Amino acid sequence: MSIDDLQRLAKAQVINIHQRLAEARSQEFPTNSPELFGEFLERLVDALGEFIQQNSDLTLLRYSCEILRIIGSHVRYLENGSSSKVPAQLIGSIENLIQQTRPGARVLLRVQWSFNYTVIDISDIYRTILRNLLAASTIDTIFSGIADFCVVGIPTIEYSNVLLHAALGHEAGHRLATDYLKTEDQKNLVATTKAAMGDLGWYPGASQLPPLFRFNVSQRLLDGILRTRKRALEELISDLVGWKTFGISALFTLHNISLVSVLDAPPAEETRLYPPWRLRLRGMMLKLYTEEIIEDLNSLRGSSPIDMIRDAAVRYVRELNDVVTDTSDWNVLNADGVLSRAYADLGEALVGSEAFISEKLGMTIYGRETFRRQIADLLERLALGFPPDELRDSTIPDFRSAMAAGWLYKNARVSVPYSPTSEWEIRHDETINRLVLKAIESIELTKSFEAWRSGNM
Amino acid sequence: MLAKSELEKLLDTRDPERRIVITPLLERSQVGPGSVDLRLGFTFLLSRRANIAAIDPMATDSLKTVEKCQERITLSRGRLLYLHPGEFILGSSLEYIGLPTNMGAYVTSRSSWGRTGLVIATATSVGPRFRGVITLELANLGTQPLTLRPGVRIAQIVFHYADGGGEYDGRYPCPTGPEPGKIQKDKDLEFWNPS
Repeated sequence: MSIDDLQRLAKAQVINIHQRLAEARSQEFPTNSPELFGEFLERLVDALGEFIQQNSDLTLLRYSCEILRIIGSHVRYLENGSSSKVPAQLIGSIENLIQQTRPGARVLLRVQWSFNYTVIDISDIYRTILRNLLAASTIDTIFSGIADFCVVGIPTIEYSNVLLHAALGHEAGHRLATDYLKTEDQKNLVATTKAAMGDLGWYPGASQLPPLFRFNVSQRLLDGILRTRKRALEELISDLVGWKTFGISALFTLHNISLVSVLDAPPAEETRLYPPWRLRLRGMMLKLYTEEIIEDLNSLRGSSPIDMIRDAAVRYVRELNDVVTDTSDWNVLNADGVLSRAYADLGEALVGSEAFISEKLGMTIYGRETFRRQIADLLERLALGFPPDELRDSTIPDFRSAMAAGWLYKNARVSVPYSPTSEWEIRHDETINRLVLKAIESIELTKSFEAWRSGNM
Repeated sequence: MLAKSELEKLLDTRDPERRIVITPLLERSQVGPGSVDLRLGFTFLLSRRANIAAIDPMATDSLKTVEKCQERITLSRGRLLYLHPGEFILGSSLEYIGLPTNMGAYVTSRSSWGRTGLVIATATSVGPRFRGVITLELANLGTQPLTLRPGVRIAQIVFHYADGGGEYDGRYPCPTGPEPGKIQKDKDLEFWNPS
């Protein structure tokens, strides 16, 4: 393609993107962040379009046209973030959670076709892409008001399943995991890994290789071990963040998502080196026991259906305990030289990360005391068919308690509103989701209203 | 009709069999001499053009037909909704209401809004033991577009005692947003609509 061809292609792309943006921006959004994102994309497209028209370097033009295509595909974030497509009531709480670790960050919540929860750091991606194309001052202008922007994705088919959105605690945790892993002593890590690799006697055929080949294999294995370890820690630390921000809901969510997966699937390139589900569940169960949440579940007292919910919760935890007591995941890991070495110090590293995470999360941590104090009242509200948005003393609960109450109620499979003569039906799960979502709306609104009132009196 | 002091007593009681639940009740001043002001919720069902001949509310698949020509939107605080003359939309109360067994309620317009041409809540009766937000049928009968804002006090609910109440077995269990009509669930419909 000639320079002229590329410039014409770019012009057409800019026009198309503007048209799609205009259409997407005409929708109603739950916050003004999507609107800001739309404005940002328009500025970006215009700047890039101008750059292309003024440039004659064929390679740069090709690269810029490719970027325009990528930007075009990102319009879908706006299209799928309209208030008719996302649980709009949840966005405030999610934004607050993410802002705790990233002050000032803007959040766009959108649905995505893939069954996955994601947090994409879109501003970082664009800054990296644009760094070599546009002047720093132009980039700053494009990014004004949107310095830190996350696109949070939830699966389309689960958009109304508000309880499952506790997975966003884990997703928000990836940033903290990355930050923590940067603090690790890399030199020491490489040295201890090399020591663990030894003379490669454990690697099939390594002893027969000539020195140069052996060195290559050694480097490849070292890289594999370190990457596998890093990926495992990214997920496990994010799980820890999920636990600290959502408590028992994070455990139920993880278990729910793991239900359709192979529990002991070893980390592999095709699964982006995900650690086995059983190992992740074990990590959360360990928190459940060490933080004595299990005691709180056991001590839930009240008339039906509270007693039924307690019994179901204890039974659920017992069954999960059976799952994690089984160490077949470790058998799979230990049978592989790379995996066993990658996973050898995970427990230690996780313990090391906890203080770091706790400090970063600060007041966002959803502590045992809050759970213990609020859960029974909220379960009673659900049993009566009310949103779990108020405690007995008329104070407002934490929205995470409302989610935990929803999970415990749902797991017990009793009717809502509770009636001893009504059997559980699948529609009751949907009712629980709606009531919890309504509760989140009420809790956040009441907090904002009271803050406004106290500032105006 | 329940007057203020009785209303406040029943709002504050912890006895679930007697308690009136209104949540969130953002301001106690919403409780008036004989009613409680309700605010406009954030979610609306708007009409949109659809490839359907007509809505027959009695047809068994009418709910699907209605869904084709309705769009559910949720506004954020501070956003506006313009209701044009002759336009009809469904909204809901912000407050989730819970009635005890021995109590019913009526939802009525606030006269201040009525004077602007806004008609609210043509189906105003709320049965004993109802739980949920109240769907509001909003229509602009005036000649000028009206600006609606979620959170504003738009309707009022009047409570009264009801004798012989039982479990609520209506068509709208625990609604948390506006719901389309469910006429097709009338049990005697088959008689009036023989195939």
